Parts: sequence; structure tokens; C-alpha cells
Amino acid sequence: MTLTKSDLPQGTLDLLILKVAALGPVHGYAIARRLEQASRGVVQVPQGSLYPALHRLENRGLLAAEWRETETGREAKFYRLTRKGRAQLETEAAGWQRLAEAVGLILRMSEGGAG
Amino acid sequence: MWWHRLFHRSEKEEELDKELRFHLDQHTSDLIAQGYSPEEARRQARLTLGGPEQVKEECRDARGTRWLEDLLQDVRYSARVMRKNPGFTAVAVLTLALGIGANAAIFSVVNGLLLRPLPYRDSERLAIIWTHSPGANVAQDWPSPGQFSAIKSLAGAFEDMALAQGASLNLAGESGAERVDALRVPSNMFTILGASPQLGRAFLPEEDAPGKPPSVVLSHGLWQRRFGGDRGVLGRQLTINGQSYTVVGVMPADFSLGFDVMPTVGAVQQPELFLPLPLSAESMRSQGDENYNIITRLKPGVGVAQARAELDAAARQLAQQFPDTYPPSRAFSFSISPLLEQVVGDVRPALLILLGAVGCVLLIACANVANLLLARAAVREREMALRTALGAGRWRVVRQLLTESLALSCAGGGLGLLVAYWGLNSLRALGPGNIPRVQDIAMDARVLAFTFGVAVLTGVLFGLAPALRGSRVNPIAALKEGGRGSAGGHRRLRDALVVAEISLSLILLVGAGLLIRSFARVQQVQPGFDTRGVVSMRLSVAGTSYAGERAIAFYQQLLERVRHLPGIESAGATSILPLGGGIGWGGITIEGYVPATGQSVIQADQRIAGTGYFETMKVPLVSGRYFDERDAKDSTKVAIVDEKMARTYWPDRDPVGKRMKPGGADDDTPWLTVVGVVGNVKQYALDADSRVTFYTPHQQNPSGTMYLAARTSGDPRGLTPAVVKEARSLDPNVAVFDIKTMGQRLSESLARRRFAMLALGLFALVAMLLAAVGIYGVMSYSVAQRTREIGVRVALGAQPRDVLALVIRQGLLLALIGVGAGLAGAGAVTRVMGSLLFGVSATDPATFAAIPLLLVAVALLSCYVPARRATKVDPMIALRAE
Repeated sequence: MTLTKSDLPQGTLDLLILKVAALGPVHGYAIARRLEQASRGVVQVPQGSLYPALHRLENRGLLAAEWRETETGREAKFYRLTRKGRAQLETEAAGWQRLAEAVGLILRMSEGGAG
Repeated sequence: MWWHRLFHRSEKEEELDKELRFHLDQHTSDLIAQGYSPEEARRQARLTLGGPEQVKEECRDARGTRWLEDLLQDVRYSARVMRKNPGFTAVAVLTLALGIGANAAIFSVVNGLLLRPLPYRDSERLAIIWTHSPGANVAQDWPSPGQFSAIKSLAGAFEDMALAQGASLNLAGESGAERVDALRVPSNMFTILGASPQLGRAFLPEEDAPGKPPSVVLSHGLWQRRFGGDRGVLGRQLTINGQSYTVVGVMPADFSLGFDVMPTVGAVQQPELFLPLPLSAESMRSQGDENYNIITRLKPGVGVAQARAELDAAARQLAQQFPDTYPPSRAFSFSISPLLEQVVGDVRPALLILLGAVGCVLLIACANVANLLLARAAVREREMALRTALGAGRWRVVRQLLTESLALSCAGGGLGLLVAYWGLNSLRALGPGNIPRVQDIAMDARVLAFTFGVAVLTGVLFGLAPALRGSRVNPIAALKEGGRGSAGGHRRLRDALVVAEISLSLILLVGAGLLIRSFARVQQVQPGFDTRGVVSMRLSVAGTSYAGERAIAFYQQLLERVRHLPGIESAGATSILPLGGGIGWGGITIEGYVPATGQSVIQADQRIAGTGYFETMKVPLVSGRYFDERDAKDSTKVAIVDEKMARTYWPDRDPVGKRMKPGGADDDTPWLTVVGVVGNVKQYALDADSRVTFYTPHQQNPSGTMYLAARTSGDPRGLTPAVVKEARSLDPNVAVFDIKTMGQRLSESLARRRFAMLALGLFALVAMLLAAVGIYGVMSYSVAQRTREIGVRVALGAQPRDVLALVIRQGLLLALIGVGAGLAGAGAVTRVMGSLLFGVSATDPATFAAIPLLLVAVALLSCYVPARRATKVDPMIALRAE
């Protein structure tokens, strides 16, 4: 299943980007690749919404950007998580966990009462 | 930081480009590594990323400064559009500059006169107190010290109050005596106003009682003029009216207490000397010496209503204490006038009417520019359709069109400031000389803010409809080759705008017409004397050397000499010249006449007339005789009355031989025998009624200050120097001033009325011209739109006159609807003008009939050229153009 732009809510994409950035400074293309790999092909980020999301997060001060050389010698824009971003990541990840558990509970409900 | 993003926009754009290119390159290499061909890899990578422009747009949106960037982009584009259509831009900007500039100018006047506070501390709490005795035929009068004391004794609403008296005095100097305006004030006057001298001191409380050595405070202007700003002026002596005064203080440059703030009996315009006002305890009790001004400061938080209640209580107390002076029949009362009201109250109606008029002019200008924009919107349909097709939302297009309108209106506003500046300078140069607070009229911050606000509002007003219309395009229809567009759909809106313009200009024209008729009526009023060819001036001989007969002798000698000058037909002297701005009236008693309503005295204007005065002014003699040598100092005391007095108090008899006297029946004044009746003279203004008037001969009423009037056979102005020379040769110290011809005085008395008429007339004319331009534009456009239809008609056999009639009919319809609506509006609006009209009603039939005819004629004229153009349509070309 390939998630299209309308399926992946905006907040979720932001959360995923923050998580990837938490693992170390990374440029936009690498984030897209990482998300695809880590989710075993389920999450294919429509790249058209990736960059607007990155710029938005940079705007809000959750990511900091700088231009660096890659291993191949080209210049690319690398994003890393700020302290504010880290705090936001933790809050949102916790919230997502709670939501996922609750949804799971409801889905495991059998007929005639709670499971 | 967000502003960082704004100003480094191009940098950011480059970075974004670089970032996306990097992404594409990486993806492409990965795909190549997977086995795709380079071209296929690149194509796949691009597809996956999506349209780069769209991505960039979204990134730009995410940047958060989008609205400002868009605005700057719109402004740049607007400037380009304006440059590419110089004719259109010029017409629109000039039209707007005219409308906005006129509004800015009038608002500057409104701001200076009505909105700015007066230059005194807490000026909203200052007020002037007047008295009224309608039962004794005195509409408004100056208070007396006794009345002042009565109010003061109640001490409730008033923090402090002061009497004041104006006087015109002779100031001696090396080059002769100078006539100087002065104000006598008590020690607390400057405190009440919140002003203090820049040098020295004001008056001390001890100087409020008689017996102290006289001191004087100078105005800044006099200090500069007479003493060159010498800081050692304190302690110097000045000779005023023959007496010696010590200078004790100098007022600051920005202090003034002129006639418009405090109109004194002596009609001093701008006092340059301030003298103490020593009043004895007895004087403070005088009820009848009603020649003072009272200025008061209300306590904080006290309203005018409370002050009025207290004044009513004071009036009641006076009636109780002095029942003979204040009988119930007199209907005596006080009134209080807040200072600003006092200063500008009588110009406020005219000013507000002018403000309304320029507002109408601006609306008409807006309508014209809106029409221009609507016409252009039709032309720009393809451009708008392209934008929409490329992804611009409707709101975005509307925003851009509005920005163009605002650019036009702000350009018009900027130019309008120049128009306003020039207009205000013209006003100062050509306007009536007696505008109150004229020094406060300036283009200050509030005026600039107002102009900017009006510019923005104007831009939205005329830009909104065209923007909404222009953005509502069907891209497919418009982009098709030869698409006709929705231009026809604008027609109703454009017609409505033109009809509105015609209505507004009709209202203004009717208003101007009424003022013109009023002015003409006023000019027809007979002043009661011959104003042509008379030169007049005021002279004053003062000091003890001129007591009594010496003054009379001086004037007699002077008049003799003047009469013998070549070019002089006759000469005479009077105490107060008609239309000269002077005041002199008081109570009289007529022998044998009991005032019907129980008033004790009759109010009458009093004048002194020398021998030959009436003959010089050509005041007609109705009965009896003029003054002559028989009326000498020791002869029977006589008087001449005017026709109004004769008819009122001796209705069916000849007053000659009857007696009257100044003051009350028991006063110690001599009885005067009437020896003649002369025609009525308009004393104050052509459009104001005078009181009954009586004259006493100069020989029996010696006064050192008199007006001299001389009738010349040629140009009166040319003979002025000769007359002045004669006066100076008799006595070099005589003060000669207020030199004008009677014609000038007459003209000045009409100055305000004339100015209002000219101003409103100018605005009405501009409005009419703008409306004419509007009609012309709409009709031209309509003819262009109907070219095909006209071609068909001509091909089917229509004659040129049929085509002409077709177009003219359309224009006439618009004009008639506009005129109809305008008449209804004018009928409602002119009611407001009541106080400015004279001799015409607010619904004067002649004006209301003539103006519509004029406007319809103008409308037809404006239609004529487009109609002619329509007749020249070649059906072959017209039909082929599709």
C-alpha cells in the first residue's frame, strides 16, 4: 500500500521527519530514502510535500539547517534537530503511542464486551 | 528571523533551487544504479518529485512571509502596468489628485479651526460669558462689573474668572504717535489662560485697585518692533495717551488674545499692550457699565450645564437685589460660550458644508476612475484568464487588481498633497481677511494621516467593483481566439456610476447657485449712503493738550483744509463709520414715550457727526435739517434721528422739535432736541438690520478720535496721501490709521459671504466638469461596443441623424435620471444651508429650474462627440471586424 498525499496527515509527516533528524544531521533526499527503508516500503513520502514540510519545520525552529559537503563532494542542505525540536518530538511521539494503543484496544474489541 | 527571510529572498530562492536540484541528481543517480537509462532515470526522478515550480511555491508558502512578498510583487507589477499605460495613468492620477487634494485642503482648515485646541492651558475649560436682555431689545450685550461680582459671589462651577476691556490707544514714539491695540486685564488673567511672561512679571493683585503707578506688559511683537528685543526693556517708560507707563513684563511670542477669542467693545483686533484694570469697590458694583468681557475657567469636571444653572442663579440674585435694573420684563439672563465655540462658532456651518462638497467631488472622481478601470478590465480579460489558468486563485487576482487601484490612489494622494498645499496658500492669499485662527491652519501630522486614509479608502472604493468584475473570468471563453468577453455586462454598473455623478454635481451646482443668488441679493441692499469715491481714515488726538474744544478745533481746521484740496468735493467727520466695524450703542429715553413692555430704556446706536458729514456721505435728509454752525457748544443741545427711529417712536408726527436723551429718564444727561431726520444707514453689514440710530453734533460732543470721510471727484486712493499730509501738518503727533475707501469697507464686509460662494462655486464647477468627462467616457465606450449594431443599422438604411438620435437618446436618458435623483437630493440637502442664504429660500424655484437645464445641456454636449463618431461608422468595416 502506497500512502498518497491525502492519506498521510500533515502532523504525522512532521513527526516522522523529526524522528529521522534525531538520528543525526541529514539532507532531504536521505530523509525520503530513510523513511522508505525503515517502514519497509510502506511509507513512500510524496516528495512534493517533503520539502514544504522541511521548510515549515525550519521556520518553527524545530530544525536547524546548514550547507555541508556530502561524501561525494557535492554541497547539500543538512537538517538537524534543535533542542526545541527534540522536546516537540518527545511530546508528539508519546501522544502517537497513546493513540496507537487506544486504537488497537478498540480494534481488538470482540462482540459482547471489552477484550 | 522572518525579516531575514524577506530581505534575502533571492538568496533563499537560489538555495531552494540548489536543494531541489541536489535531490533530483541524487534520485537520478540512484535510478541509474538500479539500471535505468540516464534519460529515463531523470524523467522518473522528476515525476516523483512533482512539478518543481509547484514544490517551490509550497516551500515559499511555508516560509510564512508570503503575504508581504506577494504585496511587493503586486506593487512592482502595478508600477509596470502604470508605466505601460501613461495616458490612462495620467488621467486617473490627476483626477484623484484633484479630489483628494481638495479634501486634504478643506480638512486642514477644519483641523486648524475646529479640531486643534486653542493655545491656552486646558482650553476646553475656558469660556466667555455674555448677557441677554431680549425684553429690552438687546439680543446680546457685554457684562458689567456688577454682574461679574454677582456671578463671582456664587463660587461654584467657576475656578476663576476675570474682567477685561479693550482699548485703542496712542503710543508716543520718535516718528510720531502710533495707534496700538491694548487690553486692560486684572492680575489673574494670565493665570487663567495658563500663560506667563517671558520677561519680567504680570500684574500684581494690588494693581487691581486704583492708585498704583501704572505699569504695562508688552506683546512679543511690540517688544521686537519698538525695542528691538532689548532684554533691558524692563523699567523703561512708555507714553500712552499722554500718560507715562513703566514696562514690567513681556509676553512670549506665541501668546495672543485677539478679537476672535475675546471680542471687546473697543473691537481691538490684536492687543500689543496689556494694562492693568484698576476698579474701585464702587465700580465693581456698577450694573450699568456694560462694556467688559468676562472670561472664566470652569472647575475640572464641571460641565457647561452646571455652569449655566449657576449663571441662572446669579441672574435671579441680581433681579432680587436690583429690581429696578432687572425687572421681569427685561428677561435678563447670562449665557456661557465655550471658548472654541466663541472663536469658530459662526464659520462652522459654512466649513462643514464645504467639507461635504469636496467629499462629493471626490466621490465623482472615484466614479470616473472606476469607469476607467472597468473599461480597461474588459481589455485585460485575457491577461486575467491566463493568470487563473496558471493557478492563481480568484482572491489572488482580486488582490493584485486592488493593489493596482491602491497604487493609483496613493499616487493621486501624493500629488494631492501638492494640490492641497497650493490650495491652502491661495486660501491664505485670496481668502476673506477675517478667518479666525488662520495661523492654526497648516498641514500637520493629522492632515497627512487623513490624506493617506482617504487615499486608501478611495482606492478600495473605486477599485473593488472593477477588481471583482475583472477577476470573474471564464478562462476558456476568454482565451479562445476572438473571445468577446463580458464587457457588455459592465454596462449597468457604468451607467449607474454616471447617473450618480450627475446627481451629485446637480446638488453642488444648486448649492452654489443659491449662494450666488444670495450674494447678488445682498449686493443689491442699499447701504443708505453713497459708497463710491469716498476715502476714509481714523484719526486720534490724545492727551491732555486736546481736552474738549481743542479736539473740536483740530478737526474743524483739518476739515477746512481738506475741503480745499484739489479733487475733494466734500469732507466730514464721524465717531463710528458705517461698515467700519465699530460699535457704539446704549439706552435712550424719548420724551413722552412710555415703552410698551415696561422696559426702562430703549436701545439705540449712537453716533457723533461733524458738520458736513451727512452731505459727504450723501445720506438723504427726510425732514428738518442737517447739523450746521447753529449747533455750537453753548447752543441748545440737538440730535438728528434716523427714519427707523422716527417711524417707530413718532409714527404719525414729525419728530423735529421733539426731545430725547441718552440714558434713563432720571439720568444726569441733557435733553436733546431733534432737528432733523435722515435716511437709514446700514451700520454693521448689508445683510444685518441696524438698531434705531441718532446723531449728536461734534461741537456738542467733543471726541478726540474720529473718522474722517472725504468725497473725491476722481480716484479716492490717489488723494489719501494729501489728506494725511494735512493732518500731520496740523499736528505731527496725531495718529492716522485704518485708511480705506468706503468701497473697500463695503467689499470687506461681504468678504466671508463672497468667499463661501466662490469656494462652493469652484467645487461645483469641478464636479460638473468631472461628470461631463464621465458622460463622455461612458458614451464613447458604449458607441465602441455598439459598433457592430450601428453598422447593421446603417447597412439597413439608417440615416446619420437616426444614429445621432440613437446615441443622444441614450445619453439623455442617463442625464434625466441623474437630474431627477439630484433634484430630490438637493431638496433635502439645501435645508442645511439656511444660515448662509439671504433673500432666497432653500428651495428657490428659479435655481432649481435653471440648474437642471444647465446640466442636461452639458450632458448633451458631452454626448455630441461620441455621437458624431457613431455616425461615421462604416458598415463594411464594422461588420467585417468580427
